[in-house]
Amino acid sequence: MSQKKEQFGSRWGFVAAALGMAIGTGNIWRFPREAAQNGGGPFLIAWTVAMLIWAVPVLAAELVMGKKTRLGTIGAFRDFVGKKYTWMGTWVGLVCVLIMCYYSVITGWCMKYFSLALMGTFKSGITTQTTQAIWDNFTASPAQTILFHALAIGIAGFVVVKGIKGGIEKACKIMIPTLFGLLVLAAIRAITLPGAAAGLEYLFSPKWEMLKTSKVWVEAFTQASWSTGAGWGFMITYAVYMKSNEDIAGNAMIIGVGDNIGALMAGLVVLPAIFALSPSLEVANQTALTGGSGLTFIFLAQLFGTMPGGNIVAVAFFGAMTLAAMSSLFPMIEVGVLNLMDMGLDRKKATIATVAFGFLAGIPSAYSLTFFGNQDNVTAYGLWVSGILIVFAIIKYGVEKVRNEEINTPWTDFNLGKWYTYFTYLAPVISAYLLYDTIKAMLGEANRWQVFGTDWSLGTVLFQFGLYLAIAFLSMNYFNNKIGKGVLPDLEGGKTACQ
Amino acid sequence: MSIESLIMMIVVIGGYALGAFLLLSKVFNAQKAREAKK
Repeated sequence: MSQKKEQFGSRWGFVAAALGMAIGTGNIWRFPREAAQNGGGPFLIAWTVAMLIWAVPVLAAELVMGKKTRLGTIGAFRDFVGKKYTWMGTWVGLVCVLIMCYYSVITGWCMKYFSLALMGTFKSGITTQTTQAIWDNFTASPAQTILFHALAIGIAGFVVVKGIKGGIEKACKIMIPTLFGLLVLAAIRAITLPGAAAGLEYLFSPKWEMLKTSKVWVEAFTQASWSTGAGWGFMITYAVYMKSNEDIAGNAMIIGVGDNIGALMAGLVVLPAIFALSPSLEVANQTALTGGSGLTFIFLAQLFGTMPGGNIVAVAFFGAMTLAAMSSLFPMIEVGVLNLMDMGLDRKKATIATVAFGFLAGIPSAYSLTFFGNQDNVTAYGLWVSGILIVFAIIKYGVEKVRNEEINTPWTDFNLGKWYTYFTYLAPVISAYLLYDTIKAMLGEANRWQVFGTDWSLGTVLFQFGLYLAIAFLSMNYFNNKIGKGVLPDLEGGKTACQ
Repeated sequence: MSIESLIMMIVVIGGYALGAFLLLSKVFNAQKAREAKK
């Protein structure tokens, strides 16, 4: 039995929520490292191409599925491609919910560092040893990491339980402009530091020969897939709350371009700051290539202390990180909530159940960085499979039918040409190649068949993928019967969605 | 900073800024046109 659906109050509200989904910590701590490792300029070009030919078609595919079926990931696959394929929607939803469990831990880290910045911890004279010790002490203290994980998922759950218009939309309409404002503030300060030009050189260096290497393209497509949120199932979920006469092509483009702009702004903060504040070019190079939590919570935290007004920049930077992480946590929770609502639960019960599961299943990630790394890697590869499944759904339904009947509607901002069809067929090939490339790298590792106690091995990926598939297949009949029909939003009369 | 990198920076930042401006103009104009039709 499905519930009557809520609706985003405005297009800007939808776009703010979608940008909040897309712009996450990956834009801030992953993008600068990837750009730095892959030649700067050539990476920026490959990454822009990846956004246009891979992310935008996949985002549009997701929007079509959610808007057409008005159901969460599980029901969307059932009604869009057929009951035999419901397991695919379960896979997509399961991967999202598992990401939620450890992403809440990351959000907790950001909140902790934001609070440290507010207390003036990153003051003049702070050393890398000190910031390393702060990080080590924090991550070695389960009481603290679990507390901040609980706070993060609790706050996000509080927003989600308020609903789409009164919760997620309202919060993102404040958080996204604030996030961009904080990034602009931090970027201006970073770029105007003496020596910042070396960081800009690093980010924009035109090493054109690198465009011929497959590594640059693989990393660019990987960054595009992890950063835009394409192929994750989030847009299936948010599209359920779109108005019927809402455009798909324009919104997919805005999400893709907006996400890349967010990442570029983060690059303009991180790399100039590293190069301006590091004692030597060698140290700057090493720091830039670190990426991830080490870059953010150890090196940048220390560098903020070496510049005039650094604590203000630290507040802006960790504030931006917290907003980016939190606004990405909302849709992760909403994926679980909507699937439960499709099975008849009301929003309050569905949110409590999803948040309680996320908190409990996230505790091992809050407790152990190895477990955290394991989940981060395995679910990231699961997302590529999700992307393939979503595009499979569109191909099975008919790409041309989708383009002509669902995207190129009388209320569209853009009419998509035949290129959309070609790139949609290309998308699963790209995802499959990324997966193949990773498997190849894993096969070269000594611990390739290790299942437990590792953060990166083929054995652990295959074992967990097997579990996901078992859950997805065993639950298929139950979900087929339990999930009701999709219902149009309240303001449109609450009628059953067209199938 | 080398001149090539400077040009690249201007092209990338300018390209994204122009792209975002054109995209949003197109969206707002299309929306206005639809509202005028109503």
